[in-house]
Amino acid sequence: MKASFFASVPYAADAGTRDWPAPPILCDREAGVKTMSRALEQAQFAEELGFDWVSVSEHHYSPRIVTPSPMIFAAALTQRLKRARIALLGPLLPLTNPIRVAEELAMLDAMSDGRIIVLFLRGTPNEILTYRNNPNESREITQEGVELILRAWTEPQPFGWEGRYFNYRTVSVWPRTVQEPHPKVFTSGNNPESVRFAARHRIGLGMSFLALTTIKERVRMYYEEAAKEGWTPTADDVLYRFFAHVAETDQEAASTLGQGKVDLSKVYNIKQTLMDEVTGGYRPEMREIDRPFLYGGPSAAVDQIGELRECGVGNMDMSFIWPGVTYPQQLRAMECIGKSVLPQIRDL
Amino acid sequence: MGQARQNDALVVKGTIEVNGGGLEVREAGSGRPLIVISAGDQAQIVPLVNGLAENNRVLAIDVSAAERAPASSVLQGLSRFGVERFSVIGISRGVPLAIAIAIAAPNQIDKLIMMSPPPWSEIDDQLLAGLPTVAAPTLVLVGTSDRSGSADSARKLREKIGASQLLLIYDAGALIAADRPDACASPIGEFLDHGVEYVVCHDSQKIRP
Repeated sequence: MKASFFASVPYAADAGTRDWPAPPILCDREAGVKTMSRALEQAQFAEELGFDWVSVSEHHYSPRIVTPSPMIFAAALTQRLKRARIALLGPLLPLTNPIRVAEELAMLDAMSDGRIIVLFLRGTPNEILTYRNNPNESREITQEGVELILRAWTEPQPFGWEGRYFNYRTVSVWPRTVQEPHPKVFTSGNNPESVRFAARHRIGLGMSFLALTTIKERVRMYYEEAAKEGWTPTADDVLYRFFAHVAETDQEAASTLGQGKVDLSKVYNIKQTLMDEVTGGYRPEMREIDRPFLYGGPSAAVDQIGELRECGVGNMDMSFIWPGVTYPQQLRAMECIGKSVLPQIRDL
Repeated sequence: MGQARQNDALVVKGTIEVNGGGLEVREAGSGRPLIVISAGDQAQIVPLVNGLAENNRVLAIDVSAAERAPASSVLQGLSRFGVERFSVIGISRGVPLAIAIAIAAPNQIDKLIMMSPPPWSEIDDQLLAGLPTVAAPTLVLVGTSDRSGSADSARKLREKIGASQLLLIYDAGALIAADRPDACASPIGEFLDHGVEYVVCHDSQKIRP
């Protein structure tokens, strides 16, 4: 089982809003500097504690996660981290030029000597508003973008691409990725169609904040679809992101967690009418989470990770952000996992 | 509309005699002569030909009766249709004859275009040896979902022919012309106009003129 620390890079002060987009006037310039330096220190701390990966994501216009360019933060990580892999989970392909993404990831792979992992995503519903892309086409764009990037990394000669959403006449990426044939790639497994896509293209499956029963079902489907394509995934091909809060004892974890809950549908506060316009009224499996998936003392955490492993998950990406949990408490939870949990789950 | 146009496409104009047999020649459109060489189900290429016939005089030759027809016989036959200088498109098993013509008559070929070329092992060694002599600007198209061996051939053709470009047609299989005819016709049209300089974008990127 591989453990990943999710460097969510939260704004290092109280912005006083959860609205999306958050007005830039609320961003204190000095706090912006502190946000970046603190997040880099925290990532380095994760490596020292034995986390296998440090992950970074792409979100825009909000203090919640301040990495609109995961590439830039990952570039800094390549110079701070000496051992841990750097997982970009992930670039939002509807918002980008996929060839540029392929080039930058190849640079990062060279800068890190082959430690890059990537998960390509469509983005949460609000993200599609960032540069005014059409939400109804975001899945198709993402899928075409993934295929294009894989080609850009593997075609030996310059080529052109006549897509449905992308059109290039000259593609020839330098440097080549250090990893052969390319860095490990995941795509979203948060809906069945994406699971089929991942299996068809022999790439990894990444899920976030789903119930264990759903994870189990998606992994089963992934294996079935992969079999139809003539290959067999392993636990290394399955990634799950969740919230974590672990302390020395169950009681201590309970006392420091408080009563807060996370409603994933309200993490970014946008008008419901706008959300409906983006999603077509579709309500994804976004639910209120009462407590972190990984929660309690070390013994409870080891058991919970064992359950996850039984579902077929081999990579766990942990967010330590939780309402009411302070930054020092997050560091303490990371330390507890690093010292008391990770040594017990390495061979799961 | 689409159906009506399909029925209107490609009118039989005669035959080209090769090896004692006849290759049927069908025609559509007007403009620069464009020879389209394919083998088998002609319905597969109709949507593509319709697109190309908007700006070209397309002469479609089905070589399924004689895939190894000599290039010289085909060139002779084309001259009887008043075609001396032309561009040629080879599709799948029509690719070897298109290559043979480009090697045999370099001064008559304007552009060479190959779509879904057959596996390398199925192309005659003599033709392969002549590839470096192909002087015409060349475009090779292959579908990203094509699992027939075309992709490997396309890459090799791109490597061996000097003035060549490789174009991947996303979400198209071995029947590339049928799967995404517009995605083929549009870049082919630009290639016929500009040759390898088709890589230059001339479309305005202005949003509010």
